[in-house]
Amino acid sequence: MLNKVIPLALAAGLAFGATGALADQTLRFATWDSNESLEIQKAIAAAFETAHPGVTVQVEAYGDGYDTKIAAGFGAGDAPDVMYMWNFPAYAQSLLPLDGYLAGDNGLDMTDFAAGLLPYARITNADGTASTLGIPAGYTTFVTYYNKDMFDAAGLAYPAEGWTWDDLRAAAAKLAKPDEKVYGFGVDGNPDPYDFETYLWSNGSSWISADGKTTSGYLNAPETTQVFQMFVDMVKGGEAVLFGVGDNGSYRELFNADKLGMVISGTWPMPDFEAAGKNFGVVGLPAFAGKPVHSNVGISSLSIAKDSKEPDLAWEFVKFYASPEAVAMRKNDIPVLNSVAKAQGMDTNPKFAPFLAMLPPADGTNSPAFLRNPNWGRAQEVVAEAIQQIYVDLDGIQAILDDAALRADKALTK
Amino acid sequence: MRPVAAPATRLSSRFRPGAATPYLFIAPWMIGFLAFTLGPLLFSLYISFFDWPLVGEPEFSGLKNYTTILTDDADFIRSLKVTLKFAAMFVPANLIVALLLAMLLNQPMFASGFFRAAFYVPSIISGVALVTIWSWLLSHEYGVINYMLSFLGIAQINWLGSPNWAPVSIVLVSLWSVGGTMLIFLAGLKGISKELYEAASLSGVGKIGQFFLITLPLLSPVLLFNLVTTVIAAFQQLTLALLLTKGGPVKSTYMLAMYIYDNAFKYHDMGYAAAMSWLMLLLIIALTVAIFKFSSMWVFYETEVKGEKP
Amino acid sequence: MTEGQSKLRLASKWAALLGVTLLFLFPFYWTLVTAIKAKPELLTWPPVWWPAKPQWGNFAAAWAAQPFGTYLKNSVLVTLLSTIGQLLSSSLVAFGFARFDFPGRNFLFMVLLAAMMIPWDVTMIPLYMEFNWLGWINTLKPLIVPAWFGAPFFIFLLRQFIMSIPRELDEAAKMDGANMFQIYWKIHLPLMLPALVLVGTFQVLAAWNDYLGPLIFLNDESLYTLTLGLARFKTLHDTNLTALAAMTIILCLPPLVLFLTAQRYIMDSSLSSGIKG
Repeated sequence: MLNKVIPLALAAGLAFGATGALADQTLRFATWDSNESLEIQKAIAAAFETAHPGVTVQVEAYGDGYDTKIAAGFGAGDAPDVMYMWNFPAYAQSLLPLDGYLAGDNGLDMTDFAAGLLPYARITNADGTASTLGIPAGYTTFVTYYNKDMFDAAGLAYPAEGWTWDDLRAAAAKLAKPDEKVYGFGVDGNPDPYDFETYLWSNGSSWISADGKTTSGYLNAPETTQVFQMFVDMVKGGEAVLFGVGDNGSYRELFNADKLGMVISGTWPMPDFEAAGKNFGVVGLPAFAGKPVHSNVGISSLSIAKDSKEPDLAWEFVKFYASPEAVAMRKNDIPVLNSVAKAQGMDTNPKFAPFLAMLPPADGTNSPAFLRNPNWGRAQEVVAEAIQQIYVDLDGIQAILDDAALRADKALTK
Repeated sequence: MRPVAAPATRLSSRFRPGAATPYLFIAPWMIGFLAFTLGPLLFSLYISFFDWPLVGEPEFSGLKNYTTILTDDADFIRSLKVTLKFAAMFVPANLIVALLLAMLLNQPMFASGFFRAAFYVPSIISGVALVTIWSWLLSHEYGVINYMLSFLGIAQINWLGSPNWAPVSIVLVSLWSVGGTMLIFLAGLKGISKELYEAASLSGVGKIGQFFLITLPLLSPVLLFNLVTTVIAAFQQLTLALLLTKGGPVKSTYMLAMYIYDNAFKYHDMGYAAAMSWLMLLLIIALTVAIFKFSSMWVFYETEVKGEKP
Repeated sequence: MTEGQSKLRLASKWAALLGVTLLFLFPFYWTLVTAIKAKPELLTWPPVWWPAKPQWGNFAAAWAAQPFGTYLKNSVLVTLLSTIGQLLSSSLVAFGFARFDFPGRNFLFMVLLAAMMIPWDVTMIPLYMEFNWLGWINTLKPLIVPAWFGAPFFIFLLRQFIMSIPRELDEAAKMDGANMFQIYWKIHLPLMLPALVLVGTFQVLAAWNDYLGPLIFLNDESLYTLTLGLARFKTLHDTNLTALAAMTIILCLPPLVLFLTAQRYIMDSSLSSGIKG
């Protein structure tokens, strides 16, 4: 039997050795999107190819394996030319500063970008200067989704802009029927600390000091403890269900099955809710009484590798991605260009206006922890563990946070 | 495997092949080892003496990575403990279940092919799919396993969400893929002559006696193989922890392999990750050497019976 | 032993067999049911045991969602070529370790075992650099070529098998004028057949199910393997449960057929009697 297979093997060996006939120019573009969002990326890449004959864009989609793949690529000096990026401090040394391209008349109208997004891609260098390492391509802020049918059935008024956590809790208590596994609100038991900082900012706290030096007095501040205490009380009181801890079933299925009245998220679940024919509404985040509301932003930016052999072509590609034509093609998140958002009527559409209203201020006052300290990665791991501990124990919050602050400060110095 | 000691008549003296011949046989592995293992391995040893970020300039740091790991890294100690605890459950559970299943299958019975396939089939599932299947079977609120347990009056168990249960759940899930180990045992069992058991039966040795007097000694080379590979698998376990529990909750399944992985791919600290994996390598080697030293007391090669100790 | 006792013994054996079988097969059943459920049925309580209206179209939809035809071609190529290489090289090396006494053998064997213990993370980045230097990144070569140099696990396994083959067979062949390679090729390979089928099955599964290798070494979608496609149904914010379950079932079928065919060779006692000499 082996005798028959070997010639075949040799023939196939020749075949795979001979692949890879190159077009004039090939640009590698890596994305973490998949499914429908990936199709959008491919369509934009195809439009770029049409506009630039002789250029082939190789769209590389790695889904969940994105970080591993990009890290390996950089480590071995074989990164894609253009890639999705959010963690600029971690890759700063390998990314091409775009300030040179941005200077002067570059064909990009920077004033058209949603202003609050730009600070997220700016890094302060060791010598005190700042570099822009990415151009936003799409984003989402955080909003509250609510199930209108459940509100109607309970005879409750829909949430309105300017509402507070007390309002949310009162509604949740009326919607909840714990015996039937129906809940008013969903608390993410394993949140990304990056997303969770939204609540801290809204209550006047943060994970880390503004100078990025310490978490003590921030991570374990009374305002931080209050936020956790509120969520823990909601879970204990049966108003809210805790998801994400040992549960594969996500809040989406719960929401679609009319078992969850309200949930906080970005644009991600909206296509799902629409596809399921849900009668849902969108409203901004609730406020902690008397305090301003802040939301973090999930941004997909485009960066160029320092080692790229085609930096100019890569820049053309990035520019194309930020053009009104391409931005309008991204249906699965919020347009980064104000003009496109207006043209699509998002500022008046009740399902999208709350996302725009939640945009952070342009001055970068609430910069997320990872921008304040380049060693945040290890500290964030400590924070994530503390959050899990709180939701497992549902008790002893202050002690857990005090311990976490000590350990996070140690991690920052590593 | 012929258990009965054959007349040990030597037909000729020992082979005296050309001195180079043996090396020709093992050459493929030696070339592959030099090219794809030793080179990268030595390089990783080299970078373990550096502060070597994934991106940016490396800086020589001597033994600092090693001393930090051993004296000032609580996460290392913790993940080592988690790993040892996992291995202490995983290795015996896997070996015992695999051996029991193999012995069950080794008996003459109706539809043995069907049962063999049924026990092995879970092992053909890829890691990504395996983890997805189990995470929704074990789901706390909506999992079908908790649903079935509710009929037995057992309250919902938070399999993957409780720090006490999560390590146990990982072992249970790993048992589902015990088929490979089972097949190796089974192949070994098939090689044991039936007459031996019949003879023992006639001399009045019971089933349990037969197991200890015949099965276990004659299976010992296979057992050694499975023991060594299972111990190694336990220490290198990454997929389940990474995909099923992400090391949580509260780091209860955060094993050494995953901490190394995070240091490399999350914190981009290649030098530190390399140093830690070298420590792990030394630990596994020490364990394996101990197993082999100890094995001469209980492993029985048939060729040795004939006075041919290698 | 009375007749009653022996019946009881038989019954308990069957009960154990059926119970274990149920445990092992239930997750498959659940995957299948998940694959053919309509979305609203995924998260109902109590669970739906069989969908009201099985959505068999979910299989075609999952297959059409990505270029799975291309992925299949790549997976088959990698699996086939790496398995052939693995069988030839591992058996040859195992024979060398089992049948020769040469200076440094025990040391080299310990090195071989040690190589099995090397954590994947240690060598990954240097290996990537090496493959990049060879120009192998974004080709299927990193997934195929190393298999032609043997793998410690398989060499160890085959060595254990060879060591239980009586040396008298070698001696007899030697008397007939055979050299060692002929002894390996004509006597041991056929005798090893059950073990080789076992190794082949393991290697097929390892290559077919490999995820990290293809992820790290391949860039271009036209070279992706099936597991990469499967993993793409799961991202940080979204898991397409139905498609994932449907593709899981499809992915299991080829190894399942292979195993059902192969197990006869591994287990057939007339074949393994070869080992008994």
